[in-house]
Amino acid sequence: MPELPSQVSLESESFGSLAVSGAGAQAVAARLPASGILSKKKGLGVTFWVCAAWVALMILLALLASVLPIKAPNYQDYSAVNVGPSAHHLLGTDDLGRDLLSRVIFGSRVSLVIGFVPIIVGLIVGGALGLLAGYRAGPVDTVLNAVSFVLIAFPALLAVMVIEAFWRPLVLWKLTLMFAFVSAPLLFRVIRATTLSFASREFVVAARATGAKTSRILFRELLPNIVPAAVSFALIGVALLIVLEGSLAFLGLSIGLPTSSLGNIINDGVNSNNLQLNPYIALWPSLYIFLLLTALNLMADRLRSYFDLREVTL
Amino acid sequence: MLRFVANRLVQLVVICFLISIFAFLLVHLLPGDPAKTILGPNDTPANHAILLKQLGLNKGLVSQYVTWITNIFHGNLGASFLTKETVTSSLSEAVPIDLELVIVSQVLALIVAIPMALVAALRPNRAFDKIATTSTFGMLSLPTFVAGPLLVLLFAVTLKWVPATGFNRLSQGLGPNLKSVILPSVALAIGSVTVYYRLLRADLIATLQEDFVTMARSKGLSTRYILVRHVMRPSSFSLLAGAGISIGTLFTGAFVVEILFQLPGIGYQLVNGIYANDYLVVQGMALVAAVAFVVVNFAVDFLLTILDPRVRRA
Amino acid sequence: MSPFRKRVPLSFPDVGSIEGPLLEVVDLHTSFRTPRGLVRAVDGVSLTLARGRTLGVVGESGSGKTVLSRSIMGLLPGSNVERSGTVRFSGHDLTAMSLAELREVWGMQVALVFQDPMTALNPVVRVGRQITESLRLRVGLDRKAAYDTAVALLKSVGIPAPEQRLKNYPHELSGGMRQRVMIAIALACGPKLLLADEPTTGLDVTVQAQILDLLAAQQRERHMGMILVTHDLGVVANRTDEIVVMYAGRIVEQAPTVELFAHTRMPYTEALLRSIPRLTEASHTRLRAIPGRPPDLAADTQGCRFAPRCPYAQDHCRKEEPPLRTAGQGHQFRCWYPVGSAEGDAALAHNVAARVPAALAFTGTRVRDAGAATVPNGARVP
Repeated sequence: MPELPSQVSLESESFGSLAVSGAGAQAVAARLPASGILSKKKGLGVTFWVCAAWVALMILLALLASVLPIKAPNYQDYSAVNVGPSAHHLLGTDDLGRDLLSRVIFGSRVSLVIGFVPIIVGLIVGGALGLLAGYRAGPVDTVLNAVSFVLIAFPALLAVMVIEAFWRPLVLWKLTLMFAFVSAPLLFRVIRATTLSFASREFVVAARATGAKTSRILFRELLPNIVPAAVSFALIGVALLIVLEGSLAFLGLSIGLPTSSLGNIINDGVNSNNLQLNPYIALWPSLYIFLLLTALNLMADRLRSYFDLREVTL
Repeated sequence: MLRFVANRLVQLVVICFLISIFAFLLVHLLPGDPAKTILGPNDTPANHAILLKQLGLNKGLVSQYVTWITNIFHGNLGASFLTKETVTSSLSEAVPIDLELVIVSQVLALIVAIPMALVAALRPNRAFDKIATTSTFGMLSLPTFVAGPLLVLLFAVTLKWVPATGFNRLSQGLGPNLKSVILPSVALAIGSVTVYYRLLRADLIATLQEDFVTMARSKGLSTRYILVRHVMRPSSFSLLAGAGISIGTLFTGAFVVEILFQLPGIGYQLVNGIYANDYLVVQGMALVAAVAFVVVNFAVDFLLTILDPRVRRA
Repeated sequence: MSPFRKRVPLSFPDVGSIEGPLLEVVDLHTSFRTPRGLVRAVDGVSLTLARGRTLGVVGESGSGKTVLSRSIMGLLPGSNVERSGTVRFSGHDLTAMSLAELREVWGMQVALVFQDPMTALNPVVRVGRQITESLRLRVGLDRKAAYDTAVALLKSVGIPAPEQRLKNYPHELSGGMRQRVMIAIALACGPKLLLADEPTTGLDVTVQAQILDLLAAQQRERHMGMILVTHDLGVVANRTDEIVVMYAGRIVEQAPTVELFAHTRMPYTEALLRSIPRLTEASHTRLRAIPGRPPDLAADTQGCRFAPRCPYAQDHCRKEEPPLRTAGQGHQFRCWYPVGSAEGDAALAHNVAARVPAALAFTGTRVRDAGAATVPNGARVP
């Protein structure tokens, strides 16, 4: 074969062909061929959409509560005390004759706000700070870390109770704000920890080496990796907050009756008389919370596996 | 190594210091006048002024704080206004209760969560895993103030196996002691199971994908052996961290259970103190609870550093 | 006695008494079900290996060679895998065995040396235990005997101060030592067949030579069969008895080593050989890489899978895939216009005249006209 020295000027754009050479070459460890991006599984699945529909329904009912054709939640009908589910009262009534269906729906407004808003605020504030602190270790990080640790260590209960006592009358937005203060440090720590575990990986170093700005690294490289863990934790946070409100109701420190929140309805329903006489009072709100959280959980899991490309390896 | 420990201890002290300031400030924001409460019907301006001076409440905030802190270093946390019992003696009664609750509930939670997580991780996304994940998530929506009364109704009232309230000290015999503690511990364990299960399962699944697991399989080792001796060890780190937070918050988080079952632990004392404006009690208890959280977490952190051979110790 | 100990129900004949080949692979197929379709990583591979002989499996990344070694052992993930064909080891059919039976074979009869010792060793378990666990659980040695054997093993793989190394964690050892430890672990139970998957990738060149010498020495001593899987022809040149060249999941050439290097037939093998840089060349000599990319293993194709990159390819190649043909002396190849034959030379000349880029790259002719030919994969043509 005629061999002209060195002047082959055909550029090959693929390093796959360079993988075969003399001693010392590094093999490219591609598990599946690199031609084309793996296409995602088709759609998110029936379960996901059923759950999404359910959650949407719950939100819708809560939003439209005042215009729905349901009875007034605080109207006490003494002729229909502790009635079980019937045509007139779809979910029954409680020990004061109040319609449970409307109490649950009106109560869900409070609980949904208490559950989601603080978490969203916490994700934005705590998340942004967590990303920064995790990526740029240094004095700022140390200070933020210490502060968040102190905030978490401090009994949230105490803080809430104190602030409540000081800040009467207790209204939904005040409670929401307090919960936001409680959840922000936790979310900060979780996101900071996750960011830390990713910030030392090589793809971040590589991005920096090519001159990427910090904001780009934060948003394009780190954020997509952190979102799954953050979402998962956030959902648990929602559950915990809804339940925490109930615990406060237990102490008589939540939104005052007669305004219903799911927490205080449940609380009402588990005192010894009601639990034995009319378990429905406690049952319906508990069931509501259970279904809501399960739906959110299933959705979050499905989203996570949809976006997690790593699971599609050998 | 020594420098590392010293470093950590300094951080610990600083944080405890910050917590004490926080506790102090927060309590002094509590409205209500302890002097008025104590004097009761004897409340005249003269008596009021005398009592204020006696209690040292007429001095500035900073000097009150300094007095408090110096007293602490002398082992004097103050006393309750109402019961006249010293905070230290209340603590010595409360801490063993909380310790026992924590130990029993966490052991129960681990006994349930670990095997569940192992089975689920071996066959992820199949039947068992889906059921387990959903049901543990459901446990999140079964808060202690619901689980508690349910358990009481079933086991104490209906079946009469255990007493409904009250704490039997160990000195009165192990049997009665365990009986008084078992229901509250189960109620507490329910929430912890979810956290432990999720943490462990996620970590196990990640570890099972590692190359060294395939290598262990290629040696012909049995699945059981690989799980216990190769997989559990690297996966238990996140479990340990989670346990730290779980245990740390349990000291105050158990307040619902303590009140329900009439167990005079730290949470119980704290709540009563807040109601009664018993500020020394509240300060002292809050400080102890927060410090306990911090100490537990530092200990866990330390353990993690020691146990993980990959971490370079400065 | 440890609760994990199991009996060994199958029997494997001893050293000299094996009749027939040690390993026989017949038409092995291994495919993975992915969202993109069925990826045929191993697409009809057959080979035999006798005891005491070394087989080299050579191919680019993505040729299926790693999957081949795992598939022979049966060490594949459970779901989304389809495997067909037969693998016979020492007379027993591995493909028909249950998982429990396979576990008896793994480690004791067939061992796999993994590619990356940093990820294949458990980072939180001491090196000593990673060696002795097979000795204690599979061979049944007690603690003292296992310890002594481990020390002897480490010595035999050339690790100094073995007693100290046993107490170390993997990250405390250098890359070369970790690979030696991996080899020690593989050899611990005295397997009859050793599958070495890229055992030298990532190591310094001098260390590579040492590791390969070590493997060869161990093989001689223990009279094992060995399969060396690598992308590097330099590795297999002097150390194998027979070489199999894989491309896109299939065997494209198979021959005794000397014969392969002396009378290469398949153009792909020829290109591989040509791409090895030579000391005798002037510095700054351009590497003669093979243009293009390895094929997509999930796509259904017609014709020879190397055709897009082959300097000899003709229309016949693109329409019909060549079967494996024999050329005497155990040499098989898969090509319509083999190297060194009349048809082959004519095909190459034809391609050069038609300015087919692969042929031009092959012969080193400078490409002058920019729109004269379209190049696969859109490489720029000056």
